[in-house]
Amino acid sequence: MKTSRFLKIALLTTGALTMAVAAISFTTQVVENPPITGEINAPEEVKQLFRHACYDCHSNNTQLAWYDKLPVVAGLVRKDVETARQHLNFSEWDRLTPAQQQSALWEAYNMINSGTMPLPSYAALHGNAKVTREELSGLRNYLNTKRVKVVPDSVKTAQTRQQWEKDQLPVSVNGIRHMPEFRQWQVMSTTSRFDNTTMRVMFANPVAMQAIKEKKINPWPDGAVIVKVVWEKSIDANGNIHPGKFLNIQYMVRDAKRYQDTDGWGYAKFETPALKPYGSTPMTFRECSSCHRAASKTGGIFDLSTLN
Amino acid sequence: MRYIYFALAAVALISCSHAQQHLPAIRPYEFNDSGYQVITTMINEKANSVAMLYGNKAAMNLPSSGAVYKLVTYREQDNQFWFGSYINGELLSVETVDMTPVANGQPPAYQFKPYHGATAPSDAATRTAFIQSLQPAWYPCDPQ
Repeated sequence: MKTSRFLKIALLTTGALTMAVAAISFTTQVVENPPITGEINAPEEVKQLFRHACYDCHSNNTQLAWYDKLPVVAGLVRKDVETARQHLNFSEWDRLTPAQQQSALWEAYNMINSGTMPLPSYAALHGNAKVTREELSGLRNYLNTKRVKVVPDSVKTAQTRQQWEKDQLPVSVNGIRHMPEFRQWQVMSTTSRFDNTTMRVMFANPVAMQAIKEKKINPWPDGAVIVKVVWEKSIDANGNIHPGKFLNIQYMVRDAKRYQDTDGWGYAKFETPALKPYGSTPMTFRECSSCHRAASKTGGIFDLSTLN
Repeated sequence: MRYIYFALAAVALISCSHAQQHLPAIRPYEFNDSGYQVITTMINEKANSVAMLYGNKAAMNLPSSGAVYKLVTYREQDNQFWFGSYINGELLSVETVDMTPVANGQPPAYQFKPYHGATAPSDAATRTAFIQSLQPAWYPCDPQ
């Protein structure tokens, strides 16, 4: 008799506990469902996929099963939903920029296709979350309508060029780039101007230097480069003159064919320590070549020292 | 017929000499920088000279030991191709200041090499101090 009494108490207690848990499960709100601000605009079959496979976590329309609300489980579910909404919320789709929406769609497809989403642990308990092959193929077809093609864009082209100039080496409008390696080249000459207040040092690259030594400078060989660094003169207390303010660096690049409009020399000038390229069109450099014709005896180069 | 050959030879000679007139005599490069790099340039109008200061790798990466400086002085001359400009002409001297002995508490080694009849300056210590006092010119890129 004692045993049956114990059993009775045990059954009653279990029953009461079960009722209590069931009451908690049906009444507990694991997560709130905030208002929907704007949902995705997509074909119905795509929306349908997202609704049944993703919305329980990735929307403000979370609908949980009673077992999701069980003590302990509810805590885990809440955390999952909060994280999921933070990453992607289909109920707040309108808050994403077009680029973010595009990126989210392709990410969603790839997460589902790889089996990463819906979370396998979630899908195991929620049969309706599973995505069929047909549904996935429907999403893929939809994405195929959203492929992006590159189109000519003059602004982007300009930006590409600017970034090159800013972060790399400045480039003249005719394609001649500043060449810091000139500091390794030999000095060709140095001049002191008295028609203005500047002083200069000219460097010649190995091709140019070889041409000078072999006296093959009329015309100069292709690939010859001559650099001229220009400063304001600065005079000290003893009357010695030193390079003062840096003014510009000038280039002459020999390519008879490419620069045939400017007598075979490509000209470039970069001004101020910021090395701002001089000239807005390649035509600008015609004025350089027309003046350099005065040095036709030395192939267009003024600053060569002669045996006087 | 002989006259024709004469005439042709004369024309050939004249055209050769004419062509040679168009080839200016470029001054040979007597100073070999041997991988040294330019630090600065100094014009001395009273002495009618211009000097290029070079340094070895150690000199370009101060502070470092083993720096060697070379002050290469030229006579200034008119630039044959541009009135309004002087250009470095005849090489006058190469002064070398080697800082290596300083590590052992000794003064820097000074050497003067004359070219084309230039005479040595009287005081090595003064010249060494002067060469060391020259400030680098601002270049838009570092010597690498």
